Amino acid sequence: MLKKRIIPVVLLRNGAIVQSRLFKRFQVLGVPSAVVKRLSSWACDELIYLDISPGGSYSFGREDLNYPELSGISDVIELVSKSCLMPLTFGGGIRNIEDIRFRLSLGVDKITLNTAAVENPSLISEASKLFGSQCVVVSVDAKKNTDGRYCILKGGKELQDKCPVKWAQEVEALGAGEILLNSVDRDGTASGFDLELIEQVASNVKIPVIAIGGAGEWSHFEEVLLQTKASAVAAANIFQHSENSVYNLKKYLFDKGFNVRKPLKLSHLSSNL
Amino acid sequence: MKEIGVIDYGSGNFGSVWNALSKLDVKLHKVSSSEQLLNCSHIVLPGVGAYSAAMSQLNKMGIVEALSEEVLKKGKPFLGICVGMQILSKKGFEHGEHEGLGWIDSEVHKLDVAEYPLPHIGWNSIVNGLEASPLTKNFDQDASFYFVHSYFMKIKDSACVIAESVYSQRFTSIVSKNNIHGVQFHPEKSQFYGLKLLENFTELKC
Repeated sequence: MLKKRIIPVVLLRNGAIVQSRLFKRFQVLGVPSAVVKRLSSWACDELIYLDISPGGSYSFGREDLNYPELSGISDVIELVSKSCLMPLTFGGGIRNIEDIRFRLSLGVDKITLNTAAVENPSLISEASKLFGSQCVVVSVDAKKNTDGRYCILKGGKELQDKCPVKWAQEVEALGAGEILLNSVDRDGTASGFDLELIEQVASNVKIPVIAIGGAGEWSHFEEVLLQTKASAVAAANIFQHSENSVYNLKKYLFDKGFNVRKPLKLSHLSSNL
Repeated sequence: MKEIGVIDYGSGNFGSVWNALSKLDVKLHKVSSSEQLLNCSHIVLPGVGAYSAAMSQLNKMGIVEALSEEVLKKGKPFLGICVGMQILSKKGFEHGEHEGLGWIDSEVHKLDVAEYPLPHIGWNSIVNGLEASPLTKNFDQDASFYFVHSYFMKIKDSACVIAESVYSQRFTSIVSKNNIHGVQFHPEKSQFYGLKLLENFTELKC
């Protein structure tokens, strides 16, 4: 039986892995390779790697500690894909077919489009025809506007007059393989997922919906699996601050009988990983 | 030292398969011509993409005859992954009708999934046969693997069907015939059990 997926999201900002709150504040958590190796050894089902660098270099700025200076995004991707024996989704700064081709050639399995999908929806259909719909994830940032209706955001900031459900159906028709649905109002708040938003979108498309935004405790993941049709639940911050976080969440869900992969502490089974 | 040849025919997951195998204690060879097959003790055919594209790439490389010689005549252990497994069949029906390698009496058809979305993407388990294959011996019954596919192998000789999985319908997830093995899922993306499966493959004797 196909399992529900638990997916850590890693945010990269100029060479450092960061934590985000309401898309505004960023706190540094560590270097890209160490964070990925740690998550991978805790047996997560996939990894989503988002580059939110506003521009500039990819240096961690601590060459004195033997962290190599990375010359560009290709160095980061190569580093990550070598230590990642699981599906890897990469997003951020992707504007055209060449950007996609380049990332796939470096070992990425899926790419995610956000701003470029809103600005140029035909990129979705073009990409899914060329590389297959399985590798095209469209990331939808949703936020309530002043009168309480859900709208989508462009570029993390600009509110658009478009309902996330309608937009999700459009990207599905254009050939997107999955939707990464982010509640901007819940981002980094640890107050729980926006179940209403998730259910509205997930029950109106056939493709898998990955819900993100608001995880603060393990029971929040349980709520998504119980109350919505989401195929996967993702989170960033909550997985970064405790030892064996992914394993502990998996165990919590598996022991309650949820259809998730049996938790394994890979580091105990094999030194190769 | 085992000499593992990984066929580089432009398949999207060559790098991932290479990265995974390089974690094992084996010597890897990138194979892009017939001669390079001679030095290999084991042969891996990765695969992502369409049936006909994979076959025409192999034909273009002019490697099919040498591959048959090494695998069918000399009996070297062979592992096909995803489309690399599917083209072991006689015919594939993805975007028209195409001829495969024909090593296993079978055809490749689209999954009949009714309301389920295609492709079948994600982690899925094996419903039976985990104990039957040398590739998965001693695996925990809860072992699951990462799948991405829309087509499956319909096999005439049921003795070759080693393990099955379910996504709306039942389908073959591991096929074996003597030294020829194929897996529908992606061991290179399946963490511990995937790597273990690859390791078990590299330990098969010729």
